[in-house]
Amino acid sequence: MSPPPKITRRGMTIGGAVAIGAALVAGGIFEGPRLFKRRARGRYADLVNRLENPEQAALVGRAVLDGAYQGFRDDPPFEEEASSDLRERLAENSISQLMSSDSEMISHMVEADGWVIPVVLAELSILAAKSI
Amino acid sequence: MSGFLDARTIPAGTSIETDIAIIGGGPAGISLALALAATPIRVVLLESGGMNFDRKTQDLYAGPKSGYPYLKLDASRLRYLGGSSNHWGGWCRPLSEIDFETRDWMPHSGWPFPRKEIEPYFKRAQSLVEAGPLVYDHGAKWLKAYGAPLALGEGGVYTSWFQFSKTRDSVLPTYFGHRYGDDLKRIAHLSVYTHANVTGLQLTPDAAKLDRLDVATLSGNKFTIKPKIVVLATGAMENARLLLASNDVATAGIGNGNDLVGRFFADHAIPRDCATMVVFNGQFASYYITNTTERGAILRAAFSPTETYQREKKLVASLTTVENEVKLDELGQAAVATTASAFGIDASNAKAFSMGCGLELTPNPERRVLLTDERDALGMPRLSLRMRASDGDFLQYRETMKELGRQLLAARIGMIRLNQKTHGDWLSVMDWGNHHMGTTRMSADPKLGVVDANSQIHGVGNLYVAGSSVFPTYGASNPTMNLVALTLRLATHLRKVFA
Repeated sequence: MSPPPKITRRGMTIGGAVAIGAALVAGGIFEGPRLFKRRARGRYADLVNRLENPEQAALVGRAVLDGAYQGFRDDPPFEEEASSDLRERLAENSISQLMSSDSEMISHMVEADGWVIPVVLAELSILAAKSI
Repeated sequence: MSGFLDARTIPAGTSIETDIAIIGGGPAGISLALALAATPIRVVLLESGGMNFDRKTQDLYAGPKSGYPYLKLDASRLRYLGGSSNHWGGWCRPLSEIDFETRDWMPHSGWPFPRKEIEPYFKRAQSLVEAGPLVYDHGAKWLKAYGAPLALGEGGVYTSWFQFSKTRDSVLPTYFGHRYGDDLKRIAHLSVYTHANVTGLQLTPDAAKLDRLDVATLSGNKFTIKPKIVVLATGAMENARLLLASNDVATAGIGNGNDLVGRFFADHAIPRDCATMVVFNGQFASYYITNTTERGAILRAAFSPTETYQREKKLVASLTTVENEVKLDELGQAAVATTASAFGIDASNAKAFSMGCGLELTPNPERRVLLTDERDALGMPRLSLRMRASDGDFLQYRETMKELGRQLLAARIGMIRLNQKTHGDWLSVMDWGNHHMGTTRMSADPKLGVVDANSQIHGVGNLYVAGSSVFPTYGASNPTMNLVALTLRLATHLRKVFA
């Protein structure tokens, strides 16, 4: 029986670095989108960062602003009102619940370049577009 | 004399007497001849073409068109035995109750009778188009083994069903001439004249009755038919043409005292790629995309507005089918990912599909066929078509699809993109069903219709019209099995006339 290998400090340092590197690479494959997702900053970050991917939501938001919500493209009062309303509603409900509730009414449907989405998602997406 | 006779061999100047003359050997004419087979009524069926396509005969259909883009007049129909069933796609679906109603939001809508009047004839019509057992809106139960339909949230759109015509041992739909040619030959009191073109409907001097038919062949032969009753069954363009061109006694054309013949021409608009539907989990019963055969029925699912929703929202009828799988652009992917993840749903297996549609048009008197000064090889005035389509009909359809999108979201199973918005968008994807309808519309009131509820031309005692030219409102269902059902109803009426 041979003696166990001697673990040196240098060996531990190299091993640790390799392990961290491997974890990062693995993360890049399986969790990449999450690691490198752009998060929103600014006044609406608390709302927008509730979305899985604020950057993708911003794309949707820009499409909404190009269509039905064109008049609100540069409208700070609208943003304030929408954000404060969303904060109030999201204090007691999840986004999913609000989307389901919107989906009960055709008047609560909004188009983003033709994509039919609930108004709550349209407004969150607009705020994402304003934040990213 | 019975069987098939070539009109080119009939001695010139011959006058042939018969009980009923049917002009046109398409689905309506052939169905009527078959329905009268078991009676002693003597029938002559006059078909312009032969058994197969012939360019010179087909050219008799040519004519100019204007307005909305439309297929050439000699390309959207066929002129030989079997008529336009020689190129039909076999799609079948009975008209709905609402299609017969007077809809307050749709001008000129409404039949003179409800659906139940032709309902007893659907079974036989289904048999003649060889579409198997009458399943239709029981399709989900019939195809249970293939999975459940999409569980749409409650709302205005539901999964409806088409069935398909088939010839035996083949996937082709029923081409009436080939399919029923031998059956026609066996009918004792029926004579089928091929290559026989009716060039004039000759009224009695008081215009109260039809006296005789002038028949001509492209080879130059001419003879006459003296029938007790005439049934015009040459399709919505040609029925109008013959009535308008027969203007020596009734100067505006037969049945055209109120300037209605040729007006209200209709077809089904078939815009392609009108929407994109995404199913979040990618799971989708195959019968939405492909025709599925089960126990003798070929079925395919489609999306239709419910009658209640149509009435409530004042919508035209439509039937939307799922076509091919498509890839989404960056915005589409973002919309799907953002929506699904906000619902807390995994959309990594999501699939997207292009959707196509069959859309009813609102009746419009300005969408019409008219005679021109140009003449065909038989000396008949050629037709011109003025095609129109209202943006309002497309807007109404868009509302239906938006409702479907809402229902998919409410059920958390998918979402929709409405791909067309502007007049130009719709034009760019427009196609037509070549379902010609409406030019001899039916109404109990002679001021509002060319034929009465029995399909008889108002004021002309022995002249009837068969086929979809009598449809005053159209629905979204393909017309063939419906016009066959209506023709079978006419056969019942004619049997009573001769009883």
